[in-house]
Formats: sequence, structure tokens, C-alpha cells
Amino acid sequence: MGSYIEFQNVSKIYRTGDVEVRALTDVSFTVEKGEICIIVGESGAGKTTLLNILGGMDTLTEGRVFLDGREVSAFNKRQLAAYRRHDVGFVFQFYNLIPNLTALENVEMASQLSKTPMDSRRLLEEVGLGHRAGNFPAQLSGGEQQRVAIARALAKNPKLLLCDEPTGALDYVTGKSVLKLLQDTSRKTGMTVIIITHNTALTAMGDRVIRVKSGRIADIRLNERPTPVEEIEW
Amino acid sequence: MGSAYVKNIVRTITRSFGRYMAIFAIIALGVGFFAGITQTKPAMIETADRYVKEYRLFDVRVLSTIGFTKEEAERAAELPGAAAAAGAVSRDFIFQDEQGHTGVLRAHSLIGINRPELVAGRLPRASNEILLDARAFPASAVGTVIRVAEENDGETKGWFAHDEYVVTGLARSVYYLNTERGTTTLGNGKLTGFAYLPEDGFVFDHYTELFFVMDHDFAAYSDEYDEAADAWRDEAEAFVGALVDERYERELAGARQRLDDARRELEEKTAEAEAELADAKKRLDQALADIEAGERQLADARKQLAAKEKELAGSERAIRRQLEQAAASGDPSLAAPLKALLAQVEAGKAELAAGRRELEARERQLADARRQWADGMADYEEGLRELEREREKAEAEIREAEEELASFEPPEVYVLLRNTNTGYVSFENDAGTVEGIGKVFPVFFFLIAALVCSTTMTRMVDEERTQIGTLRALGYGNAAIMGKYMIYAGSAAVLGCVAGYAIGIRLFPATIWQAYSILYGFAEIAVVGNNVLFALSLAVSLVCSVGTAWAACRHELGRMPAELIRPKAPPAGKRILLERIGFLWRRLKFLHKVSARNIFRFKKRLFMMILGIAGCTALVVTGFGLKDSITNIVDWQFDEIMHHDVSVTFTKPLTEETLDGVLADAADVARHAVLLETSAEALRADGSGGKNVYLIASDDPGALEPFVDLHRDGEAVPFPGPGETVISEKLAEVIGAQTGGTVTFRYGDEKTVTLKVSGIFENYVLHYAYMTADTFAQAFGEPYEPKTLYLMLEEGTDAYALAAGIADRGEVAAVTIVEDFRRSVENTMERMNDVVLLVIASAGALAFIVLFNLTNINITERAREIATLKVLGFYRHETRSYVLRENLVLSLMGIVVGLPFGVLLHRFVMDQINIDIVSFEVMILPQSYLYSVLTVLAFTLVVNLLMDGRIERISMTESLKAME
Repeated sequence: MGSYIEFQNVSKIYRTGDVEVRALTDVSFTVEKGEICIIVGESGAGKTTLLNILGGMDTLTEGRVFLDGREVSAFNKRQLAAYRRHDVGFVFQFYNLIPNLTALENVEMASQLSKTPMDSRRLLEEVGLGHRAGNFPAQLSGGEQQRVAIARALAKNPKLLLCDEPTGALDYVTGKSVLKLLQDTSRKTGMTVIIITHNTALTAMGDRVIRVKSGRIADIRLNERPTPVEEIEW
Repeated sequence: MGSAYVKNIVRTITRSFGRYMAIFAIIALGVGFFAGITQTKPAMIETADRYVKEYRLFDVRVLSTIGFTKEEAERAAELPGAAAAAGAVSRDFIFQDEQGHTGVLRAHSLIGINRPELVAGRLPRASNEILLDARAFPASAVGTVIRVAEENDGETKGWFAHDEYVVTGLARSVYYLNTERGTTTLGNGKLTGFAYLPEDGFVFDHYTELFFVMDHDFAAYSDEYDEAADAWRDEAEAFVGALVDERYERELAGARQRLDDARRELEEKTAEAEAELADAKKRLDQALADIEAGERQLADARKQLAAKEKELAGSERAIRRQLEQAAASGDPSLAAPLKALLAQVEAGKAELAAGRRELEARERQLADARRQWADGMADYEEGLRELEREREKAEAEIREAEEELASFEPPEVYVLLRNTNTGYVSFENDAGTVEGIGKVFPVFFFLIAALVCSTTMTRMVDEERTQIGTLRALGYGNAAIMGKYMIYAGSAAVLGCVAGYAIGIRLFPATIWQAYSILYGFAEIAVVGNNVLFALSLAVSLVCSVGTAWAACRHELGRMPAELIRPKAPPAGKRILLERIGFLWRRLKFLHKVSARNIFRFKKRLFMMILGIAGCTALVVTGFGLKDSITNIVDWQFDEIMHHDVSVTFTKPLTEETLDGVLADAADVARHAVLLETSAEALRADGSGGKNVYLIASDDPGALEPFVDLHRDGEAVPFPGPGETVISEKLAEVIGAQTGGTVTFRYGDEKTVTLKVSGIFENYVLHYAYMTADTFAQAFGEPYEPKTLYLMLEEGTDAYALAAGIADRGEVAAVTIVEDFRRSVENTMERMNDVVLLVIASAGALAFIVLFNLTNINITERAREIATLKVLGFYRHETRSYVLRENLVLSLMGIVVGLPFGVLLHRFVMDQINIDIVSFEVMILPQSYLYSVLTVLAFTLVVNLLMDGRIERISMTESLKAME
């Protein structure tokens, strides 16, 4: 198919001795380019596993994954690293900035890797932290750190932005502003953004909502008119 | 605190077993090493002590110039303090085995002292049985026959009761602890080994020596033993000396008596003979007188007879005339009376004729008598002459005997202690080589152990901070919480200490014993414990473990519980000093900047890593330095400084003729030099006890020059002038003497002599001082009587054969072959080398563990960071460089710190190594520094290689999980 992202009958099984843990079972879905896709589910449902496989951080046991026509699930380690380097941007719940680098340097860390990077300083400004370029993460608040993380993820000019509970550690207001940033970025740049959350209220902001339950796809829904973040209350 | 608490601790141990084992292992290693090295010498000494006690090594050995009789040997047991005494015979002989191989054996009589240790077969019982040296003969020799070779001279053969001896067994001997067998005057000069015979296997007049075992319980080599031995020596000298003197006096008196008797006899016999001869003469004289009287008588008688004959003839003529006349006259009456007268005349003629015949007979008688007399006289004169001759002969013999008697010197008795037994002495030296090292290295190990404990416990406390916070929140006191970690670390340390100690005091001595087994190996190494040592080790172990646990806890427990429960903020980023150096900072590549910051970010790691690497570097430098200081010594000393091949010592001052005699015999001598060699003690400036120095004096420095190359730092040191001396470098250093200054010697027991130091020369084995003959005579107040001869031999000459030839001469006291000495020094060096290598290898391994441990912990701490990089898309090599670049830089920093440390450590260790005969040149070659750096870098690279896998295995998914 011509879908941007495609999961075909993907399963992830952990085996320890005789015990089998099925994190994902027969997951199949697609995501189009430029979409904001929200993946919801309860804790332990398998959302993160899904994201990890898509992001090339983990391998699957069965099935295939495609990004823009390329079979991600067939990559070897080196190819996966290259894939992560050029095609994927990650945003974590706990930011994971390099503590020893300033905000700007953290972003530069990523832009260095890319063949077509964005300008680091400009990105920082775009996320509203131009004035904090020289601060270390320890000197930034949670929200500010997350924004730096987003800037970092964007600096590589990836095809895909993967966010794992990006507002999990943030307060309501800050969280909202971060989500707005993500939404705006997607709209402006046409970047495909996938956000994992357990907060069902957020499903309104996405173009596509995938509900995951006990390792399976429970539901896939498309939003005709996604709600701007500032209008969502929870 | 209850069972839950205990369960917690036990579960913590089982869950983090690797960590528990790490503490256990590092403590065990540290203690094991410390205890092991420290106890090696005691263990070796103990082993030797047991062995010499079991096999009754002599305490005192006495020799005399006139041997010992059986009675004296029996009476010797009465020496106060002696537990046993025995007379012994020893004799070298050339042997031949069944395959025709020959060699020289030193045969000893079997006595209850210096007993051999049977290794194969049985002890000899019959007089034609023999026990051989297990080192020199294979097991297959048992049952074969050893011949006393034909080449032995008559005297040697005369010592042995049989031509052939049957080998009943092989043995080790406590009298020959190491492989040194000694030299001999027979054969090629080298002793193949020892042999034991029952006493009746020998034929002898006197014992060659007496051995004593004293009644004591002192440990071998102990100070008490040495003190006691000195006293024994004096007593033995007096006691045995008295016995021998007594015998000497007795025999001397006896001889004198016999001489007197002989003289008396001579006189008596002479007088007798003279009397007899005088009688004979008298008789002969008498006979002569008789003969002469007879001859005179005869002459008279002849005269008378002649006269009578004449008369008768006249008468006859007259009568015949008358008869003619009568006949003519024709008177017949006239004729008858005339015929009657004629008849008378005829009768008378007949009488006279008879008379004449008588006279002739008498004449013959007298002639016979004269001849007899003449014979008698001849005999008599012969008798006189013979008497004279015999008397002269007898007188000459008596004179000779008297001279000989007069020339007898009173016997000398020499008392020797164990310190003259090569094997025994070498053993102590060898046992001690490890001692010095034992002082330094263990400190390192404990430091490292403390380091590892500290990092491990800190990490553990870090990981469990949430738990600690929770416990605090629940209301548990500090003691309880700390208790867990202290018990955790403490229990691991105690177990480690016990295990390490138990293994260490067995393993290390055994290993080092193994290294020495080529030389010794005479028994199983003893295991010697040391309670003080154990207590000390335990104390240090506890400090390392419990102490660091306490320190790690204290820090955390100072915080509020809430703080603990929150995840720990990773160490904040900070600008480093380097950043301020603008132009340098700008030049650095981005990732290098990161590394630079990272290095200084983890202060503790920085400090420990540098310390660990520095320590490792220091150790490696020391190792190489030791090698540098040691290995070349022998070559320098024997190739560049001392050039003589053989040294001969004489019993009396060397005369021209003795010298000529020796040189005539020894055809392959290229050069020779005559000199005086004696010894003295060189004292320090404050007069305190100094070093033993060999004084060499020569009246012909020119002849001596080719034998001794006096130089220093490449420049020649000229031979000293009058009142001056040149001394060896190490000696000068030790006693604090300098060129231009003075040096003081203590000579004999009281004399002190001070000489000006005109030069100092390089020397590595023993200590020497050279001076001219005049200087010696003047300064030491003794005549210059050279008794030593140095020989330089032609290439390819067999020094042993030559030495054996020279040693046979009467005037020769000893012959030393330099090659032997060189080899034994080399042996000692090699042993040292082995031991040092062992220690360095262990040290390196231990330092390696530090590196590994620190890096491991560091990576674990930064797992999240590393995972993030992976997620960002860092390739494998990029991720690796990111982490391990820091390692490399830290290593380099550690090396820079460690190199000077290493120099100091090396110097310290050199000071500790105390080998009597060698002075080391404390030096480190330039290339050794390079090797050290490379070695440490190699360690780093290996660790990095191992860590690579670790980094690779950091799972992005696991590490980046939310804090659950």
C-alpha cells in the first residue's frame, strides 16, 4: 500500500524459560503522512512497545513494519541506527537530555548527526527557549527541558516524531503548551507525529486515534476535525 | 529489628550476589596477597628449621691440622652443651659408573649428624655400599656399581676400603641444601655430587672433622641461635683445642723421649763397638809383637845355623883333608878316628839339615802368621771405618728427627658454624628476597580494595536510595538502615578476609617455594600463620568495607526522606576550566567537548581512576625498573669491571719460585697479577658499623690494570697514589664518602685506618678498595705480603681443569673460579626476577580489576545517557567513543601522575631488596618508561574492549523506561 507507516500482523513475545509474555499480538494499522496519531491505552497495554518497534529501538517477533516503503523490521543493527539517526525523532516522558550539555548543545548534538539538519538556535527560539540556550538541563524546569527535547528531536529533520507520554511529568498548563507545540509543528511542517498517552481526553487532538488494549488493537478511529489543544480541557 | 530485617539483608545478598562477591573477592585478594607475601619468609624459614632439625644439621664443625683420633671423637661428646658429637671422614675421589662416565664425588661417612634424606632405595649397611646424591644421579643408578677410578692417585685410593661400591640408594642431604656442591682439587675441579658410606667403607687413621649438634631449641637463622652459636664456637675451640693439644703434647713428648733413647742407644752402642775394636787392636798388636819376636829369633837361629854349617863345613873340609893326608900317609890307624869324626860331621850335617828344615818350617809359620795379622789389621780398619760410617748415619738420622720435631707447629683447631655452609646461608638470603617487596605492595592492594569497596557501596546506596527514603519515612532509625549496609559489606569482608588469609598463607609461599624448587625443594613448604597479621588484616578489611559503607550511608542519611525518594538528579552539568581557554575550547570537536566535560563531571570517578591508573603505572614502572636495575649487573661486573678468570690464594706470601712454579704448570695463563687481598669494614662518618670491604693492594698497578677496569660514568679512575685509596661506588654511597674526602676502615678488631679517597669507581658485586702496597704497609702497619694471584686465561681454556691442577700444590690455600661465582650471582638474580614478575603480574591484574570496576560502574550510572545516544541514532562506534574516550584520557592523566610515583616506588623497593653480595644500580632505562606507558594503555584498551560489549548491551527500551 501507499501508507506512510504500516504495521502488518506485528507480534512481540518475550520468552523467559517456559513463560511467554505477549506484549503485542497481531497488531496491524497504518498511519498517513502528516497525521497526528494518538495511541491510547492503559498502563501496560503495549503502547510503548509499539512505539519502540516503530522507532527502531526494539525488534518484533512476528509481522512487518514499513515506513515510507522501507521495511523497518528487516533492518540490521547498523541500519536501525541509521534509521533512528535520520528518520526518527524521539521525545520521552523524562526528557533524557544530556546533563552535561547546555540546551543549545543538546540540540546541536542531534543536528550534528543529520545530513539535513535544522538550525539549532532557530529551533530553540521556535520552541521559545532562545534565551535559555546556554543553560544546563539542571537549570531548566520540566517543561523547558521537554521543549529542548522536542527541539532536539526536530533538529534532525526526521520523517517521524515519536512521543512517549510527553506530558506525563508535566503539570496541566505546561503539558498543554507542549502538546500545542507538537500540534503546531505537525501542521506547519507536515511532520508525522505519533503521541502515546493514557489520557483519553487527548484523543481529540489527533487525526487518528489507535486504542490499544492488552497488546492488541482495540480500535482505530479517524477524527475529521481534530480539536486544537487549547480547547481541550481535562 | 526482627526477622524481616534479617530477611532483607539475606535477600539483598542473594539478589546482588555479584556485588557481594566483588567485595568478597577484592578483600580476599588484598588480604591473601598481604598475608601471603608477608608469611613467605617465615614459612620458608620454618620449613628449613624443621628440616635441619629432623636431619640434624650440625651446629658446630671442627677441623684440625692433625685430624682427630677415635678417642678424641668419643671425648668430644663431653663438650658442655653438646647433645651429640661424632667424628667424620670425608674424602673426594674420582668415580666411574657402569656406563663409563666419570666425575668427582665427595664421600662422607654416615654418622648421626647431617643425616641424608632417603629418596630412593635404602641406606648403605655393608662397607662396600654407597648412597648417592639424588640431584646428580637418576633413580636407575640404584643397584649399579660405582668404581673408585684408576686415575685416582695412591693416596686417595688408600682411603677407600674397596675398589667398587654398590649403590643402595639416592638421597638428599641437609648438608647440601641447595644445588651448590663445591669445587675439588681432583679431576676437572667440579664436584658432581656427594656420597655417603658407612664408616668402615673408609680406611683411615684419623677423622677429618668433628661435628656437634648442640642441645638447644632455637629456630634456625634466629638471633638467639646466632648468639648461642658464637658462644659454642668459643667453647668448642677451647674444648677440642685442649684435646688436640693434649694429644700433640703427648706425641711430641713421646717422640722426644724416643729421640733421647735413640741417642743414648747410639752412644752405648758406639762405646761398645769402640771397646771391642780396641780389644781387637790390642790383640793384633800383641800378635805383631810375637811375630816380630819370632822373626828375630828366626834370624838369630838362621845365623847360628849358618855359623854352625860353616863350622861344620870347615871341620868337614879339615877332616877330609886330614883323611886325604892319612890315606896318603898310609897310616890306617889314622883313618879310623877320622872316619869316626867324619861320621860325626855327617851326623852333625844331618842335624843341621834337620835344623834348617825346622827353621824353614818356622819361617813359613811366621809368614802365615804375618798374613793373618795383615788380614786382621785390614778387618780392624774396615771395622773402624764401618763404625764411623754407621755412627755418622745414625747421627744424621737423629739430627733429621730433631729438626723435624723442632719444625712441628702446634696443631690448629678451626671451628666452623652453620654460616659457613653454602646451602644454609643461601637459603636465608633467598627467603629474604621477597621480604622487601612484601612491605610495599600490600599497601597498594589494600588501597585498591578500599577503592573498590567504596565505589561498590556508594553505588549500592545510590541505587537503593528510594528504599532508604521509604524506610526513613516509615520511621526506621539511622542505625538500622546503616546496619544493613554495614552488615552487608562487613560480612563480605570478613568472609573475604578469612578466605584470603587461609588461602594466601598457603598459596603464596607455596608458589614462591615452587619458583625456588630448582634450587631447594627439599620438603613441603610449611604453613606459618601469624595471628597479629590476621588481626591486622581483619581490621583493615573492616575499615575498607564497613567504613566505606558507613561513609556512603551517612551522606545519604543526612538528607530528608522525601529527597531520597525522589529520583536522584544526575550530576549537574558545569562549565569546566578548559572552557575558559577560548581558543583551545573552540578548536575541540563537539563530542570531544562533551568528553572533556564528562571527565570532570564525575569527580569521584575522576579521582579514583587517576589514582588507580597512577598506582598501576607506578607498579609497572617499578617492575621494569627492577628488571633494568638487576639484569645488567652481572654483565657489567664480570665483563666490564673485573677481568680475572681465576683467583688463587696461597697459604704463605708468594715467592718468585712459587709463582714461577705455578705459571710453569699452568700453560694457558695469558696474564697474571700478584696482589694482597684482605678484608676490613668500612665505617660511616659517625663510626657506626659499616660494610664489609675487600682491600686490594698491589705494588705493581700496571700489572693489575688489565684485571680491574676502574671507571665511573665512562671516565677512567686512576689508580690511587700514596696514602690514597679508590673505593667502589655503592660503598661510597652507603658510608657517605666522597672523592677528595676520607674513608675509615676497621681492620682486625681494633685497628682503624683512615685514607684519602682519590676516586670512586663503578662496581656492583661486593665492595672493594684498591691501594698501593706502600699505602697498605704504612697505613695498616703490616708488611705487604701478597698471597693472592689473579689469572687471566687464554680463550677457551678450561678454568676448572687448570684450577684443579693448581689447587694440588701444597702452598695453595684456595682457588676461586670466577665463572662459578658469576653463575651463582646470575642464579640469584633470576630467582629475583621470577618473584618480581609474579608480583607485578598480580599487581597489574588487580589494577585491571579497578579499571574494570570503575568503568563498569560508570557505564551503569550513565546507562540512561548512553541509551539516549543510541536512540538519537549514534552508531556503535560513536557510542563507544563517547564513553571510552574518557577512559583513555583518564588513563593518560593517571599515567602522567603515576610515572614520577613509579620512580619513587622503584627507589623504595630497591632499598628494600637486600642481597648481601650485590649492589644494584637504581636505574630506569628511558625505554622502560615507554614500555610502562604502553603496558598501562594496553590495560586500558583491553578494558575498553571488554566494556564495548557492555555498552552494546545497554537496551534502549530498558534504560529509558519511566522510573517505576
